[in-house]
Amino acid sequence: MINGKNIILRSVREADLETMVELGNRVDQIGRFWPINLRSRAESLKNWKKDGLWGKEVGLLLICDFSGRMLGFVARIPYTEWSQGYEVGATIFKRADRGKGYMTEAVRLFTAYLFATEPIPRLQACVAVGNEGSKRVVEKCGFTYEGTGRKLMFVRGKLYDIQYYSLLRAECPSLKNVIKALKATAD
Amino acid sequence: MLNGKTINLRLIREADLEEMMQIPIHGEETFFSLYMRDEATFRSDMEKDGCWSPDEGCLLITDKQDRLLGDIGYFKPCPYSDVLEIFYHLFYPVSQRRGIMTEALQLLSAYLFAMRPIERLQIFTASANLASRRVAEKCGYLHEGTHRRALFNHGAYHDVEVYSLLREECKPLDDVLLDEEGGAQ
Repeated sequence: MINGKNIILRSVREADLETMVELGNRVDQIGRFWPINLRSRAESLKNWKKDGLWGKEVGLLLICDFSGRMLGFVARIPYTEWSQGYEVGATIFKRADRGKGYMTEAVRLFTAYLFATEPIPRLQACVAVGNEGSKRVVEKCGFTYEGTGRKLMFVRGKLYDIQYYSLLRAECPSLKNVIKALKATAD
Repeated sequence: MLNGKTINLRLIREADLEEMMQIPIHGEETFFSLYMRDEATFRSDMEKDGCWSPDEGCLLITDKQDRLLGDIGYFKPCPYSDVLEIFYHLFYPVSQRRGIMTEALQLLSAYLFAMRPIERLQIFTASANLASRRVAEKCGYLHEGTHRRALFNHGAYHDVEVYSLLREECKPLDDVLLDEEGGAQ
């Protein structure tokens, strides 16, 4: 578990799956640029049993507040088979929990943790054109814009262009310094 | 088989193994040039699906006498998108600068847009691989950006260029196929 200032990141426990699936399947609450396919409990349990959702392919950590409430998750996926880096994605389940800095804090902690534990040169984030919230998150976390991929993502009936962002190892502060800086900021 | 004007694209056969195992690694700083083929993987891929499935496919580029020149194929790189990524590779340096890969890429791009309801094809090439970038550009692929340090090759991390082609930008399949009489359709 990683303790930040307002959130913690932790791996998924079996007892979390039911709440996770329920929150993740609320199509009215899912972000405008996040896939809306429903996930069954059976599929989630099968994936969880394979590697705890913390494996070589997908690595997912829950974002919770200090009361234990599940706010969302942050995840890494291999972004293409020939590359060593990961793509990072994150979502906050409920509309009411957005715009409070939870995702920014989660991405700061998560990226620093990944660079600390894996010999990767870079992390990538893909932000749909129009997704101003996510764009602010990656820019606050130090990512650099690299270009725009045309018609890359189909969400809610529409094909979107995607802005590529990346963070290189040398551009990411250490986990210790991220935690220190978070705790030094006022609420 | 896709019959082009000067080359063909065809499925891989078991009998291609002998030649493919003997393609020399010549050490040029291109994308696939260090790839070591192995017989067991070749045979199991052939047994599984002949290297041709909805998520991944590879065709051989041959001349009109069926001599092997290279390979070209596609894979699905992204779990949340239907986009296909194309890769290509000439087996022998002597085949360079003859327009072979440009024709192969035109054929495969047109074929994929004709066969599948996709909107986008993409290509990643090492920034230093000017020949490969020229091939993509000649086929109408548009440069979209540079992914920094995305590729480990020849002992170091390299920048990678992103190219894409949309459905409406691709030549129709009939324009790049050869007709039965031997002329363009």
